Amino acid sequence: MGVARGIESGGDNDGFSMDQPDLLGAAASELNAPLVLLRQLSLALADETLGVDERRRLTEQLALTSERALRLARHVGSHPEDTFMRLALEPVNAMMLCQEVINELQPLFAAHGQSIVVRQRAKSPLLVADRSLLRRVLVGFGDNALHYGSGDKPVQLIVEANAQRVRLGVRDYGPSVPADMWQRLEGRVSRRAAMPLPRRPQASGVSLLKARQLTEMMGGNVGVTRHRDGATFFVNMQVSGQLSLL
Amino acid sequence: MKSAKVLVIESDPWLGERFEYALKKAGFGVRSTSNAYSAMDMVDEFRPDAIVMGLLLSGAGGLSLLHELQSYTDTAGVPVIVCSATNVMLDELRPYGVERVLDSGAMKPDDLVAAVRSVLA
Repeated sequence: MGVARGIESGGDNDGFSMDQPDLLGAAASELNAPLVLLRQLSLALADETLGVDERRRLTEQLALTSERALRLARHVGSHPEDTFMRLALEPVNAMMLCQEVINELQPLFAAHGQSIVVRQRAKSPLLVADRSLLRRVLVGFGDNALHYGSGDKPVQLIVEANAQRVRLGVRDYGPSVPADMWQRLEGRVSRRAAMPLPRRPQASGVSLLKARQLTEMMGGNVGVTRHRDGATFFVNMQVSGQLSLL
Repeated sequence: MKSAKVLVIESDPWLGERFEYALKKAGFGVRSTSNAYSAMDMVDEFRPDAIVMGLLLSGAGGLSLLHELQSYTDTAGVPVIVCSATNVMLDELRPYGVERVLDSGAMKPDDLVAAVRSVLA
């Protein structure tokens, strides 16, 4: 992949685990940012001097922020065992999935004056995953990218494939992430400190850890490639051999 | 009379916009930024009479910025109000020049305006 100057971390299953009580504390912290914003936006709407346009804008912000809070709540609140029982692995078209992620996130990006695009490729590989679960993971990466991105360049969804695996990555142009990011996140969550990633302020990191947990349930793994001007969070999924059987 | 100048530093642009709106409506001159790095440049350029900021900032982070502000004689005296949803006590931040801590989840726009007025009084 075209990130030779970056340093990769993660991507291997190194015994990651989270205790539920620790996770709850971190999850509550994760939801703090959108909930605070919801409260302030609703207070702002009570201002009777607001014009129609401003009121409309605030209403849109409220709707988008509440959707984000719901997404986060569902993501970090899902129980691994329940999720595993409902897991429906199937062949998934990588490019179509990316387009669905774009369709879901585009309004939120546009409202923030940012954009998210799929880097187009001629052929779309098939991978094996639970479609809705993988979509949730990618939407989570996209949401992270929105809130840490500088906004100068569009966030990109990138699909790469070789004979064994398909990699779906979300490239942002924000503050860099530390080389030992996963260890730091696990340390924070296990200490219930729920502190954010340095220089990436709005998250406790539990979303990323959850994404890793869910991806591993589907037989894939999660990693991050560091760039000088941002990061690419990615999932590696197994290639579907379905077409080779035809 | 010239209005007092307030610099708003908040990582969430929509939340920063709310703070800015409330303060402008109250008659303050307001500038805002979401990044700790650009905040220091803006302090030099704008010369605020007070600073309203979150702690979890993009870039260097809120505590680093507070430390930086305290390290220069021309900025050490600028009163700082921290708006945060994290459990942080005023006493912990006083050494960094913080004069008020507001809970950004519970406060109302009027609370912010009142806090700025009180630190400028």
